Amino acid sequence: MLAPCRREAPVTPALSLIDITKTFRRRGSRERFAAVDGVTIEVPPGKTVALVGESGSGKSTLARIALRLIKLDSGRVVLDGEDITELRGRALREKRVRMQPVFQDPTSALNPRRTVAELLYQAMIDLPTDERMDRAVEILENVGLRPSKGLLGRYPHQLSGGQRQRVVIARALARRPTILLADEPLSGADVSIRGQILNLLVELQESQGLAYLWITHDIILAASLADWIAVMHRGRVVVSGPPMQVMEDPPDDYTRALLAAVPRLPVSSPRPLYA
Amino acid sequence: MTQVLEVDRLSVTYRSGGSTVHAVRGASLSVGRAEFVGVVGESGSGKSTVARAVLGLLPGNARITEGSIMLEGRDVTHLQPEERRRTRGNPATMVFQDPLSYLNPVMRVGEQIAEGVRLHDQEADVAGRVKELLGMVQLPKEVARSYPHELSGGMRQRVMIAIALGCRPKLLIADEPTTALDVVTQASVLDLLRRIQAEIGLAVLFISHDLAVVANLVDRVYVMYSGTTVESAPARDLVQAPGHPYTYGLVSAAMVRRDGSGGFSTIPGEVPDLSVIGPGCPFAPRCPEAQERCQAQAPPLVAVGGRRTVRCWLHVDGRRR
Repeated sequence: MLAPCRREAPVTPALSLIDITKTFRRRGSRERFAAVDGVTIEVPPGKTVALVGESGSGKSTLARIALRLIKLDSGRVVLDGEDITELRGRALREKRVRMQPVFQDPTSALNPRRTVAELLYQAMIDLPTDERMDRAVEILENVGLRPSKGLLGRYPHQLSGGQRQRVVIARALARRPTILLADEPLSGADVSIRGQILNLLVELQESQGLAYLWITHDIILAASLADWIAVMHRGRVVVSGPPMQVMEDPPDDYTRALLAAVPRLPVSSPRPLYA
Repeated sequence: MTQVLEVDRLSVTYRSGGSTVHAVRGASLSVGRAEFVGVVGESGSGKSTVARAVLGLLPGNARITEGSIMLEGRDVTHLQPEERRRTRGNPATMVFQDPLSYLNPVMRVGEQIAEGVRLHDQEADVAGRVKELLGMVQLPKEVARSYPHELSGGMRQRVMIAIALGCRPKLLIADEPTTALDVVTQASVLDLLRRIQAEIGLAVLFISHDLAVVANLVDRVYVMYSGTTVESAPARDLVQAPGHPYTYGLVSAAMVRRDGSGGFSTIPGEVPDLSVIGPGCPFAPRCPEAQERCQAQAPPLVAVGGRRTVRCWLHVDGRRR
């Protein structure tokens, strides 16, 4: 059932989550339930693995475990070939910078009292001060923002939603990560902006060899984006495989229900009336 | 025949700090009896402001500067607050995105449904009607004794619908009612809305940012951009043959598909700043079809065929059709 994403050549995965289990106690009772129940996922370098499921399926808990933000009951988190499951404090922080989160709500991810420049400089503590400015400009260009003086001096609330998400991505890139953990990074974005952010992330993957663990409830989006899909339901991976295989012949009822529930446009190729 | 709702060239501004935000600028839309109508737009398109204006729920810093709102043929645009309050529940009622913030946390949901029934349906046997309403939204009658926090998101939204229906409305305004729900729950709530709409012949104005949701649900769609209605057409026609370049962009973006070169479809640029109004079409800076005239002068709304209106110079000039 647990089918990690295998490559022909033995490459070190950007991230391996091995047999992860996490239980929580039910409120007002001694009974425990498994939010994540023996999940194994492997993200090869430079590839995208999509973790698909509804709210409550355990996908975000798994992301928080990967980032070591919450404790796990059992299992191993291996980042770039290095086991970080037991690391703590500074040792953990130093290793973990290679895995950067990009979450749903860019507003809450950015300190409202720091300018764009300050937010980026904070992520460049390993760089000499006089090099930070140049690097900030370079990164902002990478994420498709024109790095003017005006922009660098702006606070998050002075940016548009799309710009904010780009700044979050820029800050993540400033740490030179090998993998981005993207938990519903598009949910807050407007429809016309979604494509821009998607294209940016696809380009960055190609230019910088980034790996993505992409967490989403949208199986259609997952299919168009990922090299590998894992569908989570009640803490377990119920099906995983290449998108085509999962979409065309879902072997389980849950994935079929998920596929049927996604609203799709009743048209395959729109033609503008004015063309 | 009188429309249940008729919004005519409505403009609404907000005062914010020292500036004036033109949230709605000459938006027109109507909903007929038992008609299921959708409004699609991005943030800042003015769709929620229109909903709030219809219900008389605009915040204190908002002002209707132009146009009118008719509910069942009655002009309610500038009614006094007390008079306006009487239009809520019946004829017009609403369901919003986040049921938890609209439900009273310390009152059992049965009692919350009963409140509306007592107010708007005085002949009714209240207990019987509450049971009936819970049945209509496919909740077991025991739910009446629950508190909101004991229910799932989908159940809470069903309770909101039951409360709304208890007022025997003619028009239900649903503003992003399923946005906070996951896809499977969303599908079941949408299915319920559609069933109820057809069953009791309710007029529904369904507001959403999600074109795919709307296109599968409603009879007719309005597309809003930058405070105005840029196109309206039967749902299927709208997605198959978009009449406005913005609609075309939205449809393409909603397909979530990669083109030959691996890119996702997108609309370049960003939603415009509503505190600055230029003379031209608000979509012109992002429009692939824009010509000189578009920058200089805002296009009028024109009828294209029998059931479509579009606000775009392409259709005025008769360059096509």
